[in-house]
Amino acid sequence: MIKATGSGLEREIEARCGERVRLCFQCGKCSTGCLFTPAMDLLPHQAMKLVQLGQEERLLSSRTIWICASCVTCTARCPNDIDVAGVIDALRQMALEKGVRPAERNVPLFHSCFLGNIRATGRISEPVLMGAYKALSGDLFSDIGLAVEMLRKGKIKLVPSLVRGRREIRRIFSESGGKGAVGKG
Amino acid sequence: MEAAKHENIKLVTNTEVIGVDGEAGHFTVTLRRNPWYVDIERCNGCGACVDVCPIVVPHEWDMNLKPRKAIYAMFAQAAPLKYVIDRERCVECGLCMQACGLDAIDLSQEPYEERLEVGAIVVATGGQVFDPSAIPRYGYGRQENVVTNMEFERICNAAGPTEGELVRPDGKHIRSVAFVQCVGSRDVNHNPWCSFFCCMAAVKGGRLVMEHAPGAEVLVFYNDLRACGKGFEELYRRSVEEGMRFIRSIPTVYENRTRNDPIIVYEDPETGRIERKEVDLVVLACGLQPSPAGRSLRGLLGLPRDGYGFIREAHPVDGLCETPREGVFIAGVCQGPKDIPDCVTHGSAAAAKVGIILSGKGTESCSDA
Ligand SMILES: Cc1cc2nc3c(=O)[nH]c(=O)nc-3n(C[C@H](O)[C@H](O)[C@H](O)COP(=O)(O)OP(=O)(O)OC[C@H]3O[C@@H](n4cnc5c(N)ncnc54)[C@H](O)[C@@H]3O)c2cc1C
Ligand code: SF4
Ligand code: SF4
Ligand code: SF4
Ligand code: SF4
Repeated sequence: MIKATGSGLEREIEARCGERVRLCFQCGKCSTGCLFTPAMDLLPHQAMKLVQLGQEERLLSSRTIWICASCVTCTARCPNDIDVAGVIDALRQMALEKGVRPAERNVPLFHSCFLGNIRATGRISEPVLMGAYKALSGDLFSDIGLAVEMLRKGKIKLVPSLVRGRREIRRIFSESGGKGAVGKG
Repeated sequence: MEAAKHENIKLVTNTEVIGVDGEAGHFTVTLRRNPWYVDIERCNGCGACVDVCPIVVPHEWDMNLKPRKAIYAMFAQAAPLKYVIDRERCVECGLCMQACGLDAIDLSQEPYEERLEVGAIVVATGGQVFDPSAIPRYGYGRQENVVTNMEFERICNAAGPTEGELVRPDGKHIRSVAFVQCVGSRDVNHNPWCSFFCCMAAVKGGRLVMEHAPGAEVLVFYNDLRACGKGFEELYRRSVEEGMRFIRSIPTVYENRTRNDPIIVYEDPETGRIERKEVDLVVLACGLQPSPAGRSLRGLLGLPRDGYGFIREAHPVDGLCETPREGVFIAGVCQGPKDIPDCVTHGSAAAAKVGIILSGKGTESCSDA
């Protein structure tokens, strides 16, 4: 096996998620499988190359790390068994920890509203989540038609429900505390 | 063909090795001679039987792209060029017997055992081509116009199903071809090794397309282009100059909803963006791997395997033809992926080592020499 002896960024990624980006030989299979590339500023394999080159700033300020939906298609395809989605997740964590302004401001905002909702009630309540997200993002009315339609079809419950194991859920949050998006949420 | 005519070479075809005893210089090999259902001493290869046989089935040799009869010769250069009956398909109608002027057809033949005394054995069982339906994103098996490199060889061959005309399986003339490299090879999820021949085979295939159909577009989607060896880098460069496009991106092949033309999704090196392109034919560069037939013979001879299932050579530098069993040698792809020139070199070396055994000097002397 090839040893990870590359850039400091490669070593940091390996320490965070165990993935050895040095193994990437730029075949591009990850990128030709990813369905989200039209919205990305770096293709997944370009991101891997930049990790090898230690281009931390470009990566942490990229839109790609926030556009990635963690669908793991790339991971499933990589001929070198690199968890590409895991590497991108590590980059997201680094961006949050280092306070880099996210290129896609609303994505981390959505994540933290989502996790905040789980932390409070143990279960997602669509009106609470969307209310919090829309208030914070300032994007108030973009899918209002959809919301009305979903309400009409009974897809959205107006009154939030609680789960029983709320204490355990809070413990999970506090034990994982401070790491990445969760900690800041 | 030439080998078949050599006075010191006896071809034993349609035969399985079922036992090997003894030691270097004195092996007894037990063979199972399978019936041809044709007396090959009498058959002169005229083919009158084929014309009358009513049974038509897909021809394996032409990757099922062309039909054959129940009585057939595997291919035009087969040695010996005699006819054989596929008894699983034959309906015993007897028409071939009536047609044969030499009374060569004999449906009553049975398999029989035979023993051979030999001084040395060379295993040259080759390998098997990777089955690309194991990787669904290339569309093989679901899209008619996605073919393997093996099928493409037949499409290009003058004696193949299209008589050398560049026509794809659905009948359209080919004006653009995408070669997709490293299919199943260099992939820890499948075969981690490089199959060695497929980069240059794609360059060769691309050149054939440009010759047969001037102006046709040839795109090679590759990972690294391995053009090692005398003359290969030059051939690659000449191909680039003559218009073959090499794109470093292993694509996904999408199905086209409106036409039969597969869609290649790849990274355009000029824009650095993901682009789509329709092509007439996709050729998958399926790699080489150990074959089940080779594996059973290896087991019979008690030879060791390497980490991948190829036969392990005695030494990776100075024992490439030898095995731990004295008097048993290996040549070609059964030892690992190779191209034809390397197989020929390997085979010649093995033959020279056999010569040493047959001259009674043993293998020790060859390493001392
Ligand atoms: C699509 C394709 C294109 C290629 N193009 C090129 C090219 O352009 N140039 C090039 O140099 N190389 C090319 N190659 C590689 C080349 O085909 C191989 O290097 C070469 O054929 C290997 O020779 P071999 O004698 O080791 O094995 P093979 O040619 O595979 O022969 C092995 C033989 O052993 C027989 N056999 C197997 N098991 C048994 C058994 N148990 N008992 C009896 N018989 C058995 C098989 O039926 C077969 O006839 C290509 C390969 C492929 C798949
Ligand atoms: S996990 Fe992210 S980068 Fe990978 S394929 Fe999915 S969206 Fe693309
Ligand atoms: S699939 Fe794996 S090896 Fe290929 S470019 Fe992507 S990360 Fe690199
Ligand atoms: S006997 Fe068998 S091989 Fe001969 S013609 Fe009839 S079907 Fe064909
Ligand atoms: S020879 Fe070329 S196509 Fe074949 S496995 Fe090696 S790099 Fe891939």
